[in-house]
Amino acid sequence: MGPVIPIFSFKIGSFSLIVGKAIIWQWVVILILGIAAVLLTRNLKRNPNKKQVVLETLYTTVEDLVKSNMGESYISYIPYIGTLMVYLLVMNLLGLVGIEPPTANLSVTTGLAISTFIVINATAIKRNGVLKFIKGFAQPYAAMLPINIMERVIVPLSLALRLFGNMVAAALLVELLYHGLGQITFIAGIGLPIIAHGYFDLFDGVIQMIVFSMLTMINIKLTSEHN
Amino acid sequence: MNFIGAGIAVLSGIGAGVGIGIATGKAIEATARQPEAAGKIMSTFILGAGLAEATAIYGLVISFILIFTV
Repeated sequence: MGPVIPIFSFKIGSFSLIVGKAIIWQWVVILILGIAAVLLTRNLKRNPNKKQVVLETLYTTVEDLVKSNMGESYISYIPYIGTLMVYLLVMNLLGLVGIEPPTANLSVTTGLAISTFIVINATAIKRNGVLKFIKGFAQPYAAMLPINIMERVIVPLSLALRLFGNMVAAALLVELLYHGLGQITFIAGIGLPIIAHGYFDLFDGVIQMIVFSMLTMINIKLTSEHN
Repeated sequence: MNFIGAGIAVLSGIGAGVGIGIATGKAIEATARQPEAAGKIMSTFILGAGLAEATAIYGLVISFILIFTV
């Protein structure tokens, strides 16, 4: 399995739009999460029942993270960060059910990193105005201009590569483990890989989601305060 | 030749291993000094470990590129 090549197309649209396997799985995830979100928030009462308590705990967790990392004036970013976290978590944990996670595809992680890049710069422009945003590149000295530009570009690049590398490594290792165990005997592949799945897929997926979200939050705050 | 290069590229894992090991030691020290702050210390440590591991992953990605495509 090659990390840079794997595209096999399902259909070609009117101007050769190649829909690969990762995009189909992402659509499935979006559909499931959307339907679950609509169904679970149907009848919200003032005295919460058990299902609503779980949802409220989820919301307050995200709210606490945003407030402690970004401060009070960034409350409007809770939906974006929350969506990012839930979406990434579900995609990373798809490896547990035997589907290759879509984040093991460089295009998917680059798309997420580009959306973060747009949010970071749009926040900086909206909060400071275009002129101060452009002047912010030349702070504190004018000689820092190339370094500032490089820093703005490297942040989403490193986000994409980090997520991609971790997910590919985890998927590859689990696949090798299954392959190796299957060559000893058929039965050996049933109980032993649980630990491997637990570490590589579960732990790694959760940690990478946390790192991606924290870096997004911290960069949104830093870039708009930098000017 | 590609495989030799891929092997050398993965040596960047040394830095990550040493760095995260030192960070773990400091985290344990800090927790021993003040056990109430254990939750905050652990979350900072996990975040730092995830960031430090990224440089090792860059080396791994280069070695994948060398093995599978070039």
